[in-house]
Amino acid sequence: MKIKIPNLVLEAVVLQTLSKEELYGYVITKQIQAVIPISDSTTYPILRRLEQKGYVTTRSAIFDERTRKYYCLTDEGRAHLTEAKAEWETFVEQVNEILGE
Amino acid sequence: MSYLTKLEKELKGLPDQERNDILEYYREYLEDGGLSDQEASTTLGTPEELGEKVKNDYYTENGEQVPPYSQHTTAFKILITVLVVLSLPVTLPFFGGLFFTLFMLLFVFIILLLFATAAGVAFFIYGLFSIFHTFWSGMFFTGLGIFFIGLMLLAIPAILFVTRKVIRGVVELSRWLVRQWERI
Repeated sequence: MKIKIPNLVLEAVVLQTLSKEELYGYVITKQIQAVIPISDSTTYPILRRLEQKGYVTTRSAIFDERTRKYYCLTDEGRAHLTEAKAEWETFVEQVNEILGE
Repeated sequence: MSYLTKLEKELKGLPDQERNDILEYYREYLEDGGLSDQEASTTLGTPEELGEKVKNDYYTENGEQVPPYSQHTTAFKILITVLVVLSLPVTLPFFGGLFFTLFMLLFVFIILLLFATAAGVAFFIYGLFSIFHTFWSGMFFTGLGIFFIGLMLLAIPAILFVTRKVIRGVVELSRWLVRQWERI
């Protein structure tokens, strides 16, 4: 894919994967990769940023005798996701109005 | 060396907290994906590549990177260039003088120490020889010699330290000047 995905969109995509349940880094990456070709090293900086902004919180859980960090959507994160979706829709409509047909 | 050990090496320079977070994230990532070191290199890139990317992300986000392009107009750049060229008669001697003074100070210091060492060795040998006919003055000079040699041994790390600082200072200053230049 030649289009560089804007950070705002990537952030929204990650937030969306967390909208139903809390997940860990590997699964988040694989879920996104199932649809959008992103590199495996894309997710970490996004998760870090989302945590700094307070859109996600983290929780360490023991799994298989080792720790695993789970990411969980916060209320602010959910609100931001709704906002980002609306913005994205407007953007897509605008681009389609010019490119479509 | 394992993938993660290599990655850790690449991340030197990042704050400890940040480095630990990143290493922990990728340690879990490899475990969750059941990735061997070999597979890790194909999915995440070599430790060097991943380290490069991670550091890049970190510095960009923390606004420590030089803006990739300039906001100034060509006219402004020309003005700055002219000013820089016109101020060279003042700035060049200033910085040149600064560097020269620093190096001269270091040089003088080293020469002084060389003299002290030579004196120390000379006193020591002279003391040893004269100890047989004039015992006390022989002892005195031997002691003086040992004192100077000891002083020199103490000063060597100090000199190395100062030299390194001076050289680094000069390099940093030059880099800073170049960065300022690239920014306009």
